[in-house]
Amino acid sequence: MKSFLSLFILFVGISSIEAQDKYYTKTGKISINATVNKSLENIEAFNKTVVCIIDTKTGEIQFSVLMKGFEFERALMMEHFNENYVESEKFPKSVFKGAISNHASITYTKEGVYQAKVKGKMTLHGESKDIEAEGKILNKNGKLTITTMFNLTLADYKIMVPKLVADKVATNAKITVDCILDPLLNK
Amino acid sequence: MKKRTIVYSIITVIIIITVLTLYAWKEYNRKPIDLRNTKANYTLYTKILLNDFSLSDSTSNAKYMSQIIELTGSEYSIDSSNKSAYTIVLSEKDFLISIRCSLDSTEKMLGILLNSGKEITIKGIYTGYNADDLGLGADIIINKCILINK
Repeated sequence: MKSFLSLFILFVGISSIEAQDKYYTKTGKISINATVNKSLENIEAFNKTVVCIIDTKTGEIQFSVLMKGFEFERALMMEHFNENYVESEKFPKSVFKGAISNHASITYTKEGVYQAKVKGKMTLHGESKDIEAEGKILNKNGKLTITTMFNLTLADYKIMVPKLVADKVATNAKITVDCILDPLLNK
Repeated sequence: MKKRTIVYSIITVIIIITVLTLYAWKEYNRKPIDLRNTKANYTLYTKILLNDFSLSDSTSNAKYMSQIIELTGSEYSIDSSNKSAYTIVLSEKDFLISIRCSLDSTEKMLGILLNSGKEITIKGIYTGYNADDLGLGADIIINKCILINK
């Protein structure tokens, strides 16, 4: 009976370790800022339904964003963004697939703030490009908070800004990511 | 006669420019749709929407894209993992898909909902479908959701 109990505890222990290899969220936040320097016109949007999953065993990380989920302060900007720039009907999702290159230096079992370097492929507007970004991983209360900020050149993804508004939309958009990930259990 | 024609022409041009400027200004400052004052394109029970997507996610995605949907259901949970972005997850037995309703930042009725335990009605804009690509389950995404007090 005693040995059965020990085996059971060992099995449960192993299961819970395995289950917590992956962390995920479906409520991650990404914001885009394409405001031109010193311009009074604020071109900013946010999306709060970002899906993100990280495998702490391998350092693999993925993001998936529905383009129609970006919210703007003005309706006209949102319409132009979806219809003319990112063509959301044709390319409904943006996906990033990559890995944390300094994965070995992050202790996922210990609370703390870790610097992370991420390399991978970003697909947006039907175009895929390799990108690199630096960010932070905060490990606290059993959750991982991933934050990063990087620039994205619109032309790299064949997002064309009409000449008429070229002086109002930045050619490099600033992307800010803020995701709080929970352990993936029972999946 | 000629002087009068010139005056009328100038007045007409000024009126046209003023109207166009006002229209452009109004259009530029137009706020995104206010769901509290807009009628839904579809009024459904969660089971109907889930059934539609189970039959064909691509057909349903095209049908509901950017449409305002008013949904009523009794099986739900609240995803509060991100305190600034509460999500109500509607589900039904026998369906592997969930409906994730991301609440609008102006929505203040969540407290009432948490205590009610009754059938709820939510209105929001259909934003897209997340297939189970990442092993996290498939989801119908509805944004800018508000709770309807019935």
